Amino acid sequence: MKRIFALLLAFMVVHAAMLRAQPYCVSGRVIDAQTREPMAFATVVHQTTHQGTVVGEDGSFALRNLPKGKANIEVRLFGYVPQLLTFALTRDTSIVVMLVEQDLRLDEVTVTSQKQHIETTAYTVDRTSLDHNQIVNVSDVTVLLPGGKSQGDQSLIDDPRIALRSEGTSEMGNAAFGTAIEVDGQRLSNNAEMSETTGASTRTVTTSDIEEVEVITGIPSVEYGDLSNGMVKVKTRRGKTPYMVDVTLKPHTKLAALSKGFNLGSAGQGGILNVSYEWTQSVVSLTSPYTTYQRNGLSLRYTRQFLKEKAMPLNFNFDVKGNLGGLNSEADPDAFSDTYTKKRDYVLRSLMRLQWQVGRPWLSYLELTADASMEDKEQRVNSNKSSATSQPAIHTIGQGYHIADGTSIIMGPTGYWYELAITDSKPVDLSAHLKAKWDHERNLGENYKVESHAKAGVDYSASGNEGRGLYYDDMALAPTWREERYDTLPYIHNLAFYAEGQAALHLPRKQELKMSFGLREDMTHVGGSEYGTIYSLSPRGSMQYTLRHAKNEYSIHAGMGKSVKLPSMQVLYPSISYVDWQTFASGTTASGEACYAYYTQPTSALYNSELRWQYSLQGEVGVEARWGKTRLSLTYFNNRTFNPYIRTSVFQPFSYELTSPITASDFPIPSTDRSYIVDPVTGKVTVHDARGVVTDQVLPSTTIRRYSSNARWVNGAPSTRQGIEWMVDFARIPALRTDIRWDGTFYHYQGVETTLVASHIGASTSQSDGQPYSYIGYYEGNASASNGSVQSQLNTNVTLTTHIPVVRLILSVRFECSFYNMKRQLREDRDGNLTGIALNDVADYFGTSTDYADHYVAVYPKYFSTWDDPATLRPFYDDLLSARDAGNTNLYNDLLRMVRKSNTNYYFNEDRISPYFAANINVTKEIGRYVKLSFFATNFWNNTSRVRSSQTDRRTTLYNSGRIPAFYYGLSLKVRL
Amino acid sequence: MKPYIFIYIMCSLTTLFMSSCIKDEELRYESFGVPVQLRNPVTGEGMPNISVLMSTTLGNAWQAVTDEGGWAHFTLPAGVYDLSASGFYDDGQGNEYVMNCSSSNIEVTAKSMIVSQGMAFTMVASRRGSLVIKELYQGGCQKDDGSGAYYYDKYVILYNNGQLPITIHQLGLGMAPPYNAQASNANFNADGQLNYASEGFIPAIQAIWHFNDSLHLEGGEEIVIALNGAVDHTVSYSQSVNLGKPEYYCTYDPLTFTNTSYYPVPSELIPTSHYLTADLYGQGNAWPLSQVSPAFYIFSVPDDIDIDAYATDADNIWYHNNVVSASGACIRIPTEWILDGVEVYTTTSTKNAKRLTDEVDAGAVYLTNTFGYSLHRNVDVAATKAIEGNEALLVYGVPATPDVSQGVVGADPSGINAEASARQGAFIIYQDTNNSTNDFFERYQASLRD
Repeated sequence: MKRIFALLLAFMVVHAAMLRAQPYCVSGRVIDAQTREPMAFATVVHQTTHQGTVVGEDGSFALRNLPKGKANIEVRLFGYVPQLLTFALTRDTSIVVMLVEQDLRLDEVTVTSQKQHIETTAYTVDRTSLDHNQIVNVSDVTVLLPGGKSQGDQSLIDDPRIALRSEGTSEMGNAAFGTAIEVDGQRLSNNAEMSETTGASTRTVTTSDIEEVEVITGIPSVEYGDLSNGMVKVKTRRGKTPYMVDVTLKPHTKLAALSKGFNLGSAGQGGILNVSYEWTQSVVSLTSPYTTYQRNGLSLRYTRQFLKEKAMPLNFNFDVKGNLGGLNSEADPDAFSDTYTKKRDYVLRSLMRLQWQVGRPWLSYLELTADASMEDKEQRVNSNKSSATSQPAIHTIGQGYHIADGTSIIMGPTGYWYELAITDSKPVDLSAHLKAKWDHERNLGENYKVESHAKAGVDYSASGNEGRGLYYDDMALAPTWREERYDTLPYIHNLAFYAEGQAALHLPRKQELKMSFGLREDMTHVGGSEYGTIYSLSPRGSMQYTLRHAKNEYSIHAGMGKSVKLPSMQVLYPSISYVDWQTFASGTTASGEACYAYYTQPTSALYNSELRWQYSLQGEVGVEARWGKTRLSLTYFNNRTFNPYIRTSVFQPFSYELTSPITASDFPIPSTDRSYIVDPVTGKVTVHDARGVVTDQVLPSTTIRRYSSNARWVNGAPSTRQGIEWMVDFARIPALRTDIRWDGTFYHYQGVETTLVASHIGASTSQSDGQPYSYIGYYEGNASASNGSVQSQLNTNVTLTTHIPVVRLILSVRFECSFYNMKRQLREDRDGNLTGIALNDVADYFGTSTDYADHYVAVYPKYFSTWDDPATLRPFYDDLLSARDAGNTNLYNDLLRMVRKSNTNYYFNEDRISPYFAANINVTKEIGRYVKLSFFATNFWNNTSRVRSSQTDRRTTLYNSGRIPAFYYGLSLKVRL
Repeated sequence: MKPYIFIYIMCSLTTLFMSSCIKDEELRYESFGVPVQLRNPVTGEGMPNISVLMSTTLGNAWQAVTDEGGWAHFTLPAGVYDLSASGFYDDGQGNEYVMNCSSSNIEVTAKSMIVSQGMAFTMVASRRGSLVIKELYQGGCQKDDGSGAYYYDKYVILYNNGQLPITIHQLGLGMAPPYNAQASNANFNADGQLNYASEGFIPAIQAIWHFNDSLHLEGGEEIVIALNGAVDHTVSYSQSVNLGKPEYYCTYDPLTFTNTSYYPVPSELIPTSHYLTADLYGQGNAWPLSQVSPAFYIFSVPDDIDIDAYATDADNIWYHNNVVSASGACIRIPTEWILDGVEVYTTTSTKNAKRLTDEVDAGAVYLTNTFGYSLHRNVDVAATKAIEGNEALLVYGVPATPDVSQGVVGADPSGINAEASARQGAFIIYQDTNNSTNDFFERYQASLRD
């Protein structure tokens, strides 16, 4: 495999080296179309070779070493409409580019997401759309994707994670964990967060300075690794920009922001510094607006270009972004004195990027990026405590018996006190990337031309946590607790190599065929992990064919790829957890004092040499068409997740000695003179008389049989997500100046877990003879009624956008409709055979039918084992019948307790929700050149209708159901000076 | 884009919107004459001189007594009512029965049939047991630092309400679902009757506690059972009680319930023979008797049935709300096993619903929790005074706290202070009509604090 990879790299390097560029130059000036003033700091990029430069103070620019042929030159400047100039480059050329200010006087303004015309499915949301929709959290951008649904209470209190092409957390495969998010090329990683295994939070990302968000739902380039469910790329504002003030008011949220781009040095020779600051505050409750989440984001983005005159410009970017904020309830007057919860959400991110437009035959472009991210997510919870008795706080680490001795087990106080719990988490993420590109264009005849691009790169990343973990400010008052310092855990290191080649073949009659293929090899290492270094290979490829005829354009694209989501720290370096069994407690004295003993069992996830790495195979096919002003895109996708990580339990029988409490009346040593000793191995409790009057008393005990449980990560069964996304932009209705967008998704998910897993009914449960329950059941998938689900959704949105340039007003009304919403629980084996038994009555345990509909359904474990013989898996159903027929009532009753039943007789019924919809309205109005006002209202009809569930045949209200957004509104004011 | 496409889309959306809207009917508020008849369960004839109470969830109540034909006549505003009635019946052969009747969610509207035709209920006869719940304290008290309520000090007092000694075998404690009276309860039939009422059992949710030995009580003797920590809670909570006395019993089974906040090791003064054992068939690390509004009862399992085996027998499992779940798992406790029960409603909700059937408790007693109040059985004045020499020993007057919401808190309706009277040597007979509306009052403080 490595050999293939090396060969591919060598091929691309040699191939690129053979290519030869043509030494043509495009120079010129960029000016304001209205004022004719030079537009300094606009960017000029040659689309084919990706060569770029920054316009000087006098508006001039020059791009050298460009190839002969069709030139696509894009000129961009924040606040202006991007210009794409296409012309035949056969000699040195000079051009003048006039940029038009972007405002609502223009005809072409979009307030919805736009489909990109590339080989995969990707959407772009620009600043105008973000303003119009008053986005305060990047996660809300998904609302603008096809079939996206609005959130009502848009605030920072909740912390939703983006999961592309997925619906709900009940699905297998953890789609949110597999969705990657980048801000200006810097990955927001959640790998070092110890408290959760999900996608990265976007709450600390300021939104007022975002210029554009790109959402790749299709097959991403191999340049992007450690993902399985797409990518969100946030691009923030940089360069010289005017003063911009942003104020947004919503019932739960207030936002104020200021930004400005400055020239440094004379005539900008020192580069450009763009500074933005945003303050956002959300309150938990309108009736008690004291518990708040705050975001104070400051961003410094420095840009400078070197070697401009050498025809090999070097762009240098250095970004520093920070956030101070978090959740704080300290000011809440309703809380008891001095009790509070404070959660810091401090972030410091820095990024340095060098982009060298080499423009040579042997190398077109070289990029080096290094970034670092440090977060402080300390949580402090101060709570008041009280107790009438001294409570045991277990701090034991070693296996065996321990008794309260003031160190391993501490008897807590009586009376009243405060407990300040501090969870210190400081995730650190470091990464470095080196990327090289080779670009070439060659004519193969009169009507044939080939553009070839290749890129190869190396990524390195490291994630760790420098926090102390959970501790208490006064350890004498700490409850049961074990130290688990995050800063002693190893870092996750990942090294990746990738190479990708792309060819665009221009054919006669404006046909175009693009193909790309890439390979990515990831190597992940965690020091001390039994899994050693993990290797994973991700091949991805895509193609697009485009045909143009008159004003119409048709294209088809397809792609396939493999994405590997590396296991979390929980899998690679499992932490130790503890189970404590109470083995003795002395009687409580009159003052509330007592002495407890416990048997402690440390457990951690067992190493599984057969564990394979979770991956997704993604495939998609799409068509796009443009008939005049009407545009259509339609994509079918199929994502199949293999080897998902699932946590199972391994049970081992063990026993411990239980000693009953002793009472004052029947014991020879007064409680005031007793001291207790426990044998750490045998568990025998000895009472010692401090007076020396009575000899040591060894207390009688009984043996209790239990199971110890260790986790074991295994690979689960595959799951499938597939669907169709579409987007239709109808030609404008001239009389109404109205555009109509119809977008939507049909989404289908199916996942059934069939891995054989062990389950115990619960440590507190007794069996018929009064002893702790001693059987282990082995179930397919899980010890629940269902082991999977199937769901389908058909969501469509219709957006009517009326734009009246003469009054600088844009109004959009969006109808969010759910026409089909179905979910059904499954219980079946890997071959699709139904394995549950329909019951005629809830009290039954036996049946003959597998017709689940309108029946309670029983699920038997396939096997069971006993405490005495844990290695032998006995056939459950056969033994159950034998026990029944033999009249072994105790065994029969005990085995019946392992039978799982559906909660209700409609549990397995198909749950189809009748159609429902909500309507949102957004208005943006420019007042003069400098001021822009926006207003929105979600569910402005305040639809509180009821929908029918086919599962229960009942109607329930949409109000507060989460199916449609709550009635909500907001107002924003933007001033640009 | 043609205009008709636009019009089509708008029409479709409007149709969708209109078709998914359902308007609730408006309620009308008028008064109606409502006749109610109570019938003898054996003869089917109307039962005279039975006190009938019609109450709303808002706490409003109307009372009437049945005439010779068994009819009680009410004039009621439109609304939803709960009916409660109780009395005694002598069959003429020396047998006296407690007669009870209750029904929930009775609609009185212009459209309901009961407005024009009235409604009839068949009463339920039940026996009067000697062992009764004298006091239930589970609502908690205020902490000394003002930070809220303390709840880990629940207890119950069982009392031999007869003058003869009794021995109870396999005595158990149970609670009927849902844990709180105001919680969602789908255990009702369309006619407002509990769906297990006709099947002769009361479900016991999650787990039962039981004595390991027979319990012997002399006439008028009582036992205290600590339902949470059997320790002296007054060490830290001055408004609480001392449950750590040697004669007390306690629920303590660390093999089953491991939560040491609920179950700290009992006082060293309490012998281990006074520990009750738990049988868990639901889930949890403690037995969560509601601190707001439980339905608590005591029962005795016949000698020929082992109580542990009964609790683990899969055939005895029953599920709350007909939803199979570990959290809603119950076992059926036959009504004839049940010795006494008390249905507690909370004063903080208007959605209280019955859980105990009429044979066990045809009424309910309201509790305002967190303030140290307990639910105490009323004195049977006539029976108590009938005991020779008793009347002179009776103590009257109980300090009353301000009215909270359900009348004056703290006072026995008779004015007799039973606890003080007992301390004077009086033999108290408590009222036992199997209707806690009549039998219990909200006491100004837990009697163990007297």
